[in-house]
Amino acid sequence: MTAINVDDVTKIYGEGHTAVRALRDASLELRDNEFLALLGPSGSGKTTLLSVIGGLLAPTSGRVTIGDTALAGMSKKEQTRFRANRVGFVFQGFNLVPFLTARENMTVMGSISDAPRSEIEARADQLLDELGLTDRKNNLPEQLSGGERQRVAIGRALVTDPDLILVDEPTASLDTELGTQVVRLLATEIKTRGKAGIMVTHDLRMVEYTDRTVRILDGELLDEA
Amino acid sequence: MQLALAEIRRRRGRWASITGAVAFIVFLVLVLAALADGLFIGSTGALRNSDADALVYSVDGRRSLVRSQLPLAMRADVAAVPGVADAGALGVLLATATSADEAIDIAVIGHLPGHPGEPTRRSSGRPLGSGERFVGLADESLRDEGVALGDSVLLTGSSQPIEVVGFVSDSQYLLADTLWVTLETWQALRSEVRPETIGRGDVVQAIPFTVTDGVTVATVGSAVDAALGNTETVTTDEAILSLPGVEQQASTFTAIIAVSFVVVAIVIALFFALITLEKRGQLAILKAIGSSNILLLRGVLLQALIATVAGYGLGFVLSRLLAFVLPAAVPVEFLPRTALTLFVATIVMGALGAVFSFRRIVRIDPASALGGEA
Ligand SMILES: Nc1ncnc2c1ncn2[C@@H]1O[C@H](COP(=O)(O)OP(=O)(O)OP(=O)(O)O)[C@@H](O)[C@H]1O
Ligand SMILES: [Mg+2]
Repeated sequence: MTAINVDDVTKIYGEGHTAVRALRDASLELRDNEFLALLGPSGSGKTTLLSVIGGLLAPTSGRVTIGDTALAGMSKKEQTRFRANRVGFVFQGFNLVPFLTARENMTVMGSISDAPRSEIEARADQLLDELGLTDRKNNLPEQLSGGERQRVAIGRALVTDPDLILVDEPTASLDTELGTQVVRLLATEIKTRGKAGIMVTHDLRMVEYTDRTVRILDGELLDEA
Repeated sequence: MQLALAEIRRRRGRWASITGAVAFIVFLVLVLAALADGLFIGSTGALRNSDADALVYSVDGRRSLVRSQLPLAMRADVAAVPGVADAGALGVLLATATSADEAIDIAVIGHLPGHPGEPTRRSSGRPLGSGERFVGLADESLRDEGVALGDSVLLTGSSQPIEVVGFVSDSQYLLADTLWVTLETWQALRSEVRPETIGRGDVVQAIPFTVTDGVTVATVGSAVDAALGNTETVTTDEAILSLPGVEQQASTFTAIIAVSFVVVAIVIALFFALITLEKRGQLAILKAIGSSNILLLRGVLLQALIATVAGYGLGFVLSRLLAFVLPAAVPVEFLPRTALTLFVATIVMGALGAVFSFRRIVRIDPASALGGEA
């Protein structure tokens, strides 16, 4: 089944002569269980594409459909619930809550999403273990290394068992071994739990764990065989 | 909820300072309120703890227990009005007495034991007998001046000491300690202390009365005024508010306390406005991962609740500690009812202040989390 359908999406930031065309007529289709790598130079529109798909940014034109619901048809409230329950977003800057510990940054989804708190707690502990963070679970983000923070952000994205996993540069702060391990975990989650995933990366070695690669250049998507 | 509590736990310093600010204002408000209550209680006890339903004053006395003058004979006329159950008499003599080398103000109140107008809160000793001379019931406040059961009080200008045979509580009149005597004793003392009143005949200040069941005090009051002419009958509650200064004090304190509560709301509003501004990044993250505005508002309200409850608790304790060091002469009264009212008001104002930042929270764009390196 089609998980994500991006149809002719254009995103323009700003107006007049300062306007930036971050996405140009971008179209993309992703099936369930599919894991896609998004490659492109800095400023090419990778984060913008993920944000449009994740319901964080409204496109200037074009349609985004998740499963069988069009994002444009959703109210603000429905978009918020959509992000809480169906999207796991790993931000480029991690975006952890500074006064919550590693574990709390994950379990906070118990209050935000509709999933039962007990389920979230159990899954958080499992993810902390899988991400090698069990020893660090009671540390605040400021006490964690960049790589540890990144893994907490991945844990937070996965803890609600979302339909979509959108990951912006998951391995930037990780060495090869840890990076491989994290990407494998993402791939397993996507394959075994019927999700669709997009991972932005610069690291060509990570591409082998994905099903497909799409390149983006100046806001245009170029499929790669 | 978890989020709101965690924030307080991990940012203790800042929450301690807002709690401290609330505590300080609550402390001020509680002390002011205690002073207001103390003044009210100290000014009105003589009338508040009377069993009379209404008082008859002379028209030119303008509801004053000192200015009003009525012939004692009118008591029978009042009692004869249909609906009046019983009538008494009240005479007031403002005098001084010397105790431990210090002059104290004493309001000597003449009344008819067993009839309306007598003090109802006897705390020790025995009641006065009808017509009994040169014995009296002292207000508990006279104990602080060193007066004990069986002691005698000698008024300045009088040759007749009055033996204290009992005590009554909460019977002060305009912050003066009261000494309750029979009308007969009062007349004798008045002639000595205020010789100019000799020859005015059997004059008293007011005629308090009770009404029979099933009639309204106002109706009977009008009937009394109609029957007697030249009198003004007011209910006891009206008489209390007509005491000099009582209503003005009450409204002044109410105004100060109301302003203080506006300050509580403003302090909380400013605090939350400030931390909302500072937390814009975090709030954007929380919205980006799916927090609704309502969820964030609930967190802010919970935090305001915690800050105001803790601030109130601290302010309350501080105000009680102050009561220990205040001199006994300062009329403060900490009433549970006042404390409860102020508690509710503090919480409501805190919540109002917090809600103020809701608009700001709603306006935060979740997409702004994308740029943040939080
Ligand atoms: N909020 C914004 N307002 C204006 N222009 C923006 C905004 N966000 C992004 N842009 C511009 O849109 C273009 C695409 O940005 P985007 O963040 O999607 O790039 P990216 O591929 O994620 O880059 P990087 O690899 O550096 O993260 C860039 O030219 C950027 O400057
Ligand atoms: Mg980016």
